[in-house]
Amino acid sequence: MKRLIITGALVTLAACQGQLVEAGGDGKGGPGSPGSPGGPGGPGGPGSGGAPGGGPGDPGTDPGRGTASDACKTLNPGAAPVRRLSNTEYKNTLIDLFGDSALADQVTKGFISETESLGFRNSAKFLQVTNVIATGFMDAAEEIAKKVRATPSAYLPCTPTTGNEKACATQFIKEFGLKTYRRPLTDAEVASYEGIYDKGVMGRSFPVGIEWITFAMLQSPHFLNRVEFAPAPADGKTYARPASYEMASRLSFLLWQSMPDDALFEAAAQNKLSTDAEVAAQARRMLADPKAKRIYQFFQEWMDVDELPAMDRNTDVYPEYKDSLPDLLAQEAKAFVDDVIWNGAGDFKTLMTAPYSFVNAELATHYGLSGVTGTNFRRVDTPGRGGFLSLGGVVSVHDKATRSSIVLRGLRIRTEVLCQVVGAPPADIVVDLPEVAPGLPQAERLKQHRTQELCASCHDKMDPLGVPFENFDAMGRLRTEDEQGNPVTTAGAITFTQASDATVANANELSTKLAESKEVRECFSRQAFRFFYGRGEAAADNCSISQLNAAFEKSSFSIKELLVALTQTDAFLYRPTSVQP
Amino acid sequence: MKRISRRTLLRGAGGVAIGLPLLNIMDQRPARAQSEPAVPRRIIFSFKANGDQISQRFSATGETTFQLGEFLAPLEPHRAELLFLNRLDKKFGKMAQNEQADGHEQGGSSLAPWPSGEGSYPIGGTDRKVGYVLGPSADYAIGERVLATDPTPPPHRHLVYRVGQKNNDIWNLHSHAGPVGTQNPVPPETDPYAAYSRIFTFNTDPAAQAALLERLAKKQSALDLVLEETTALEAKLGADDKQRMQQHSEAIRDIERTLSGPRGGNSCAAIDLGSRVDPYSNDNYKTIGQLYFKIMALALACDLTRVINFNWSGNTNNRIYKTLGMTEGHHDISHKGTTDSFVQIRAIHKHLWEITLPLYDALKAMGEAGSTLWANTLVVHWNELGQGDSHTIRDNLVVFATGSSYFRRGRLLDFNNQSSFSDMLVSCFHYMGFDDVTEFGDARLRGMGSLSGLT
Repeated sequence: MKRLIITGALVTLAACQGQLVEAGGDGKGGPGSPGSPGGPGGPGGPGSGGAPGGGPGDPGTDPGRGTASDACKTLNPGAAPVRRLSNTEYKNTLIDLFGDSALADQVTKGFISETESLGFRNSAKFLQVTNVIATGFMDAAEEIAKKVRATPSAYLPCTPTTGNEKACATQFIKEFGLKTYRRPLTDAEVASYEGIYDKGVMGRSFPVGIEWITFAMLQSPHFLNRVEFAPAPADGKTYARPASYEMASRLSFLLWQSMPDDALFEAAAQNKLSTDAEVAAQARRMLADPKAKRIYQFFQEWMDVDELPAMDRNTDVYPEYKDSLPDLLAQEAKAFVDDVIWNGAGDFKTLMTAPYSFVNAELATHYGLSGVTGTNFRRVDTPGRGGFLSLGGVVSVHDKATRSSIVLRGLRIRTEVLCQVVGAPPADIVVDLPEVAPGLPQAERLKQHRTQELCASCHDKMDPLGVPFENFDAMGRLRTEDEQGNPVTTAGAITFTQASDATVANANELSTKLAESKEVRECFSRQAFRFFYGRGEAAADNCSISQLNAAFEKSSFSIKELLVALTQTDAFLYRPTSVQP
Repeated sequence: MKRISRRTLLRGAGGVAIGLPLLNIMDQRPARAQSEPAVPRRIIFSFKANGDQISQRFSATGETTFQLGEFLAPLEPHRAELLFLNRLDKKFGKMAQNEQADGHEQGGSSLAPWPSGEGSYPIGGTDRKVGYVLGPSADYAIGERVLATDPTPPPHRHLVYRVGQKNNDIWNLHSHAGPVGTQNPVPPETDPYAAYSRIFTFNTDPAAQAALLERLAKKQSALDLVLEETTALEAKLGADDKQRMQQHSEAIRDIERTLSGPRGGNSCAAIDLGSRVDPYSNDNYKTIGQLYFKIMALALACDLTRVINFNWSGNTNNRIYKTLGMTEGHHDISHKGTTDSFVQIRAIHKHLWEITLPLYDALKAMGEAGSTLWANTLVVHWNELGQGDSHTIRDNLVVFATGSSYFRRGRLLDFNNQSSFSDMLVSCFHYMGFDDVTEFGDARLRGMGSLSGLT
């Protein structure tokens, strides 16, 4: 994402219109106010909507809720669309179902990439099933089902013997069906699959019947989608808690990007996912599981690390560039984030400022670091750089083949870290820019263009945020001179914010100030909302957003606690019950 | 030709010699019986990015005496088969600011001349996050009409292909499924090898017959159940979810149609795609494009579809044309507006025209009904902008290329921005036999109605 309509240093970018607006809300319910969604007074004190509910019972009349800010006085879960599995979720689910990562990789590598929205590829609104996509799922199901046919005993809960094969098939349908549908099958559904089994074995063998069952189940909309139904409760409320198995899936896809495990299925069967506390307890259990590291997907998409495979650099300008670099940079980013969250302090400021990273020998050579051998990544101190935004892959992913891009780097900070909107140049602009002296550093050239009002209205919002990173080249290495041999300058500024405006001397100072900014922290939790809930926020989500912000702050901005908080919002614990036909 | 039902296909496993869906028996089938409809028309939309240089398109502009400029010069040998539609206005300015995205985003979706929705991108709007366009694109809509009205419709509504870029976003999604009022972009296929194997299976081994029949039965059994489930779910869901589930149901029906296998005449035969190259490498765009041309021609010859949406790239594409000696990306160059940058822009577009011409050859190589596929296909060349540095959505050039005498070719028509791009799309509907279509897209984006003087 985030390719720029406006190109780099020398050009146009004319009349960005108007205003700088906090990009809160999708416009349907009205954007969020420039303040926090909780309102100028914040989300309220103890027992407010910012804290989990005090216990079972109707939260709409819970005393804790009664002192909530206006945003949380009335429970509103917001939208709860049916969510098709993203490609990553689908692959992870195959891995967890069949225990074969290589096969899951193989059958999904050709999948059509999802349509991006808000920087993420798991937006429910755009996870549609076209015929091409359905064919991809069909082909994947066929390969997986062949494997099951080849060694059915590895997947059967029973041993088929002559005379009881159908009974064993039915048992397989029920038990495997529970896992693929992520809930018990109805009697009608069991009968449907028994019918498929009967067709499969006709003139053929038992394993073929099992193959046909598997093939069909893996294409079911109940497998491919997270389907939730919440009929309106008898008391007429417009919201309800998701059903047990639905909550199990909500938890597993949020924290593991995949299907529930046996413990979650058991909790669902026992109806032990029906209170805030029960859900939170499961969340904490799940965060201790290695599968929780899959939440890295959020970071990867948030700052476009997933676009590193498209990196290409001009070897005349960058003779050291190797085709292996993008993957090394991607591994570095993952190792860094994993360490910060799961081994380190785990807070947002550490994410943004930690003065270390992870390299192997090849990447260390690339960065000019000594003393690192082998192919495994290990932690190293990184003098002169710190934090996620300064990782080699993160800073350079949108650079040009021949140079760094101040504009693109700054644009991404503006939109993804500050959650603001940058307008478009109008059509039919008159291009009449003054000549700039050749050989000037990029920052100076941009500065001269910003003297034109037409350019400044947009570039004032981007360039000052990108200049601090000028001590990184387009391969993510530290430098003191740019591609033309000019000394780099890194003085920039945070501007157009509510309370975080500041001048900064370099990227480290920029990252520190961003990390300490209330607006940036709230943007981060908003981005988490978008990714983990698979949708943009609307006015109906103001309370949930404020709950997240409050919990994040209360935890001193612990990322793990933010993940738990994501399971404690109205948006997660409830769903709307009214259906708009 | 009477359609062979799915059930008929499954009967007679012991020796049905016709219609076995995964065997290539089409070489023995006549293309169409005398009593059948005439050879169908086809249409290919072919996209290039970033606008060109308006003033240098033509060195002389008479209707028949026009002279092609530097970057259009590769088309000179085909002059008699071309119709140049110059200075069409996309008219986005007629919409409110909060209904349009920027020129690239909106322009790249101008096969779908509808307002932009909201909610997806914090870049390109004014005070809001822009979204995808709110309605179907012409390729989708024409394909729908074909399916609905043709007595022997092809299996695929349309095919959508793009060279390069695996990820999909507002800057490279040019096909849209609608319906009107809905953001529903259609992600393209970006791997020609996968695209080929998805729609073609040629297998002449009689020994594989039983396995193929079993595979077909397995697929049909599964698809029957999936369709039951999606249909049942549709009834229970709210509007937005229902629409997506309906699309899923439609996808299953699409796949069921494709199980009947290739049709068409003697030109429908397997092709060799050569050794696999990386479809996403900047070095391979020309090879990948040529592969798509072969696949497209074969798909049309086999009557697997009548409509194709082909894209050399996304809009704002920043491909570096290294073979032209360039070191900067196309999009970056297009915004400079300098004399030197326009030299490069002209070189890029000349190059793109040169590497597009093999599409005509591929179509001409497919014989059908005493002529060639070229005689029954319209290629519509378009771009997201008129010119890149000014981001203009006026002065658009569209080139019609066809062996069909439906159009009076060999001419340059200047519409002086009075007619719109969506008017041109209406003309495309008419070429495809849908003369009842008088308008397509948002009313504000229309000009004078379908383009006059084309036929």
